[in-house]
Amino acid sequence: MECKVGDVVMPGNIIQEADALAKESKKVVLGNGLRLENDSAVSSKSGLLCKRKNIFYVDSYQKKYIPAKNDNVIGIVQSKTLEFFWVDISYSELAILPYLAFEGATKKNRPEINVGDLVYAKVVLANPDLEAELVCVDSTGKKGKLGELKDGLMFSCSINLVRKILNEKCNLLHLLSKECPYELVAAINGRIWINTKSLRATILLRDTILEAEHTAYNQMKDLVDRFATELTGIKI
Amino acid sequence: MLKMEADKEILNLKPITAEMNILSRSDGSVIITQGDSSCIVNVNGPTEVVSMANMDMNKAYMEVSYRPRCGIPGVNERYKEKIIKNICETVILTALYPKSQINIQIQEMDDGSGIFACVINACNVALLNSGIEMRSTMAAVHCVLDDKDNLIIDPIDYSDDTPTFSRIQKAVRNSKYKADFTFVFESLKESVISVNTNGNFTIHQYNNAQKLCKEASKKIFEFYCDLARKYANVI
Repeated sequence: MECKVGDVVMPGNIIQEADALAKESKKVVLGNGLRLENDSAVSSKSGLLCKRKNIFYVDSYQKKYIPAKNDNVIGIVQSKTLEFFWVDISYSELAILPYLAFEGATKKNRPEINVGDLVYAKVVLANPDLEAELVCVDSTGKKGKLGELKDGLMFSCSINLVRKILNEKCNLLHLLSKECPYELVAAINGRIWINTKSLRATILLRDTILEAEHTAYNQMKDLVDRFATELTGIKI
Repeated sequence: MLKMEADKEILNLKPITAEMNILSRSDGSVIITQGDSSCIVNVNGPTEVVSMANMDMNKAYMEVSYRPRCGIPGVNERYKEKIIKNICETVILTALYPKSQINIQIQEMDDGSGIFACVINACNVALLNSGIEMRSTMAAVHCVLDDKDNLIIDPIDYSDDTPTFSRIQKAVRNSKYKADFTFVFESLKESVISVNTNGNFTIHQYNNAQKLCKEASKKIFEFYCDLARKYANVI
């Protein structure tokens, strides 16, 4: 069965385009939903086949998060041991977050994080046979945007919603920022954290973001208008 | 004897409808109606292994639970669970999810003819919906051999009957047929991955039934493609 980029693929379909590129001795990267079997690229999920530069991947619907290297995730600290925190990243196993993986942390100067706190971290090791390993610093040792998330509200959603609002084509976050100032962390493990000045705005923001899952890109404006009306009580 | 030329008529499958993502808290769920039978399937996973005895370091542990339409699950349901578990393990890439568990829950809604084929098709759609990596898709086709030795695919023939509740009534209903077959095919080589038969038949009749079901399974694979295409455009 012929599979082109932009078509729907089913598990077991062979991606000839990726094979052809690889034969020209060019580097091909197989992303989400694709794997190498008998020297050819084979899909293992159903969804749209997409291609960006030399990266092939399947855009599929998913609610369950499977850790992958370089993903930014929101975790909940479950317990502490001598060397590291155990963090729940909504996978079947807990992930490891070492004490030394924080900015400025030393053996004596430990980060002040307690059980139940939220951390925004990066996955550095993702192997199905081992526990995932997280860090809260970048390669230069700076924390950047990673680290503990204080206050605010965290909620779970499908992974597709996170991908959707992070997509360049989606102007939802930009439109929302004009109506109400807010802080937002959209983590690829299906968790979104938001913080605004008032509780009311936070809850409204959460509902608006969840509603965006089944809203088309060109209808985001209407969605944000409704949010503004609800927030301010002024009809537009 | 069967004539393959007439397969246009014979290969008419019962209409299939599916609705995905019907349960809010599951990873993948579907309700499938296939003529007079329908069922809900819910897939959760990979999750942590509940009992440490089932933990496998090399592959995911699969658990299937099957609820009948009425009454409590018994030996028959256990038998079906076992078969479904085996079939699902062939199509799922369980080696990708070591030390974890994949749960499949099946609830019969209407147990008409070919409910078992309907359940297997529903499992496949629910697995696709959950995003668990699979080797191939699978399609099940139900087929019967009537008392005049004709093979009928996916029969609908007791619309005039009152709904059947007891196992005895069901047995009476099924006694019209000499035999019934449920074949499960996988999409890669279209080879048989499971057969479930009842009654008396010759090897020749069996081979013919398999040929017919193989043709019919293509329609179900097309249905899966259409479903994925529709769904991809929505999200």
